[in-house]
Amino acid sequence: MSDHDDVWRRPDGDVPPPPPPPPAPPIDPLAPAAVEQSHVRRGGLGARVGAIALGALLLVGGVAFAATQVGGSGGNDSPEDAVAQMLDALSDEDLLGVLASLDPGERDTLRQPAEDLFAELERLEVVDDSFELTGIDGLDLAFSDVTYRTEPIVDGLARVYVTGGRASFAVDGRELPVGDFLADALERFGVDPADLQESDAEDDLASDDTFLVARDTGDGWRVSIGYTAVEAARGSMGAPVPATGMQAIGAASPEEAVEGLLRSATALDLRGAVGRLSPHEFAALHHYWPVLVDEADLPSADDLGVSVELTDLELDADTDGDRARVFIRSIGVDVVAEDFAGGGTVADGCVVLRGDALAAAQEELGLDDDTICRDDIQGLLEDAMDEAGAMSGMGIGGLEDLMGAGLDAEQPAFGITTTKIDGQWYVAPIRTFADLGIAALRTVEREDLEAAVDAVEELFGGGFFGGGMLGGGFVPPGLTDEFGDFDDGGWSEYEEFEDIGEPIGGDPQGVLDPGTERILYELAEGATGDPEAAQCVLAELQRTDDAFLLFELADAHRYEFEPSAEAQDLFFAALEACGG
Amino acid sequence: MRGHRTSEVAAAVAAALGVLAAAVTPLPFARSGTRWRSSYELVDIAERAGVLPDAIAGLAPLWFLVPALAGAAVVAAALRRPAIAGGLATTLGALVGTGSLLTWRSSLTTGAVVVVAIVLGAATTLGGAVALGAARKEAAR
Repeated sequence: MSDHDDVWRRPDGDVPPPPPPPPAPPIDPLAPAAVEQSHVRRGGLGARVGAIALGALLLVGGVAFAATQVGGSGGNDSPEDAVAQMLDALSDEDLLGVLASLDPGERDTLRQPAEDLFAELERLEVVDDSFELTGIDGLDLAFSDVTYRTEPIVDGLARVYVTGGRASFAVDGRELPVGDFLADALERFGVDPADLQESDAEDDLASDDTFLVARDTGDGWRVSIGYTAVEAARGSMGAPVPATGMQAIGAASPEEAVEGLLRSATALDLRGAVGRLSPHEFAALHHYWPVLVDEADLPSADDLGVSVELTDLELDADTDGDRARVFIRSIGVDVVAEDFAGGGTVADGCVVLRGDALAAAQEELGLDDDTICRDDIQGLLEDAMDEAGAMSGMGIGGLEDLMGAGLDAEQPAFGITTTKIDGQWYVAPIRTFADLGIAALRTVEREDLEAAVDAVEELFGGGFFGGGMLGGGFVPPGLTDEFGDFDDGGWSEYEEFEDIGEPIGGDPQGVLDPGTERILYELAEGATGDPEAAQCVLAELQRTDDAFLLFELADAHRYEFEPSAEAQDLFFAALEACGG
Repeated sequence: MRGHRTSEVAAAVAAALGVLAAAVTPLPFARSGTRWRSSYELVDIAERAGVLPDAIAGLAPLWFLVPALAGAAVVAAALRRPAIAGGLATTLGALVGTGSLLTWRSSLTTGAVVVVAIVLGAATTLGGAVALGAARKEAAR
């Protein structure tokens, strides 16, 4: 306690009560401070009310928006809308739009393999890293003012015809996403992608016989490639739309699906085999089967006098969700026909032969026992390559390299892709081939591709006609330097095609076309070094009765090969006639 | 007049950020080919094209709740319910931020709007978390 406290303390120790507060001054409603406080209160309340109103608006509007969007992501409202969406998406190079317009089963079949394929092409530097599936630089496709006509097929299926509109495309080679490998390879063959400048337009897309089929997939209309194909086939056959299609035959496991397919195939039960194929890939074929295939005409094993039995079948599966790859660990086939009884089993990289198959192999290949293994097959192929190598003197050098590249490569595992739909497993052949192709591509390195290009170059540059196809060849007098080998950075040529033109060489029965005439003039000018003399040579050449020789000369000049002696004689005679 | 509590201020800021985050979602987010799409169009077309991974496909429809969440956060903040506003803002920010980040990392060509959405999503989440934390502390006192 401080001294000041003592001063105020009464002698008896009591503390005096505090003085009453001064009376509050009367509030002047017009005083400035009061006015400000009131505004703050009213302003705060107003802001809150405004915020609540804004929030409530957002909330109610947002709920309504969500209610219209959630669960509403289906297909299009009409068949025409589905086709229009696809063409619009193509115009915009909009892969997402294209995928969204496709039948879901077909879309799922194509999407992943396409992604994998282009990823591999990018890894191998066939395309460069600017390549995107969501748009390809240098490629422009456009549809405009397209009109449609719909023709119902059955409930849920409709043909959509294009009744008018315009299409155009343009390719700009300078912007194409050409990878380093492809650019190098093209350069070796004298091709510069930047030279590729193409454009064309079709002013009237109307067509009475070209259509796309749209299908109602239950949540909207989508374009079906499969139905388009089978509907075109049905139309050409003049057959009615089947009321009911084939019932797909599902299996309880991936292995059972593959086994069912193999057993149907060996029993020549085509219906059984097709029925086991994935409805995602072959729904249209299943539907139209009764009109596309007359089963009464299909031959049975009895008709053919052949009995095929599947033996030693061992399968295992690698399952990932609704997809599985089934690997054949062992499979055997025994065939009994009128003059043949034999077969074989493939397992562990070897083939064990039986009966007449064994006898034939022993006779043809000189086998000591009934088993051929991978090493034996490799030896046989190497022998074949040695023979191919001996042919290089005949101008087929490089063939052994081409075959050798395949032998040395890592072998991808071969699996049959199956897919689960509504709890049942089916064989998916399109995915199988796509998966196998991708698996094979994954074993390839850029060096392998370069070796293959080397082999191709050697094969075609090695010496057909002594001069090679990619360099050398027919060298008219005076053109030795110009017609050098491509490797020497010599002569090359490209041509822009405005339209699809006449076949190479033109029509021998007609008048010499301007293109051929120009090439012959270039040939003559190169040989004489004088435009007037070249005109003379050209005129001399055109006196011949055999236009084929002129086309041959033009093609030989253009594609650098050696023409026949007869064509050469004709050219030299024309040169001589003009004082050359 | 009662002074504003920290939680209320944080909730108001988080709700405002949430509104901004929601406001950018209808803008062009990414393009496929030459076609630009808003975030809502992207979710819709990605579902229809079947390109969403299974784990994301099930959650994708939540994206359509972004405007409603923003509205709910604003209402809660205006009604001085900072804990609720903070929770809603945190959810909204996480949704916008994560969705935008996934779009940004996809193979699509994205625009600057996506980056703005990522930043706003993160800021909204942070603001919401601060509001939540402050509201809990104030409740404990």
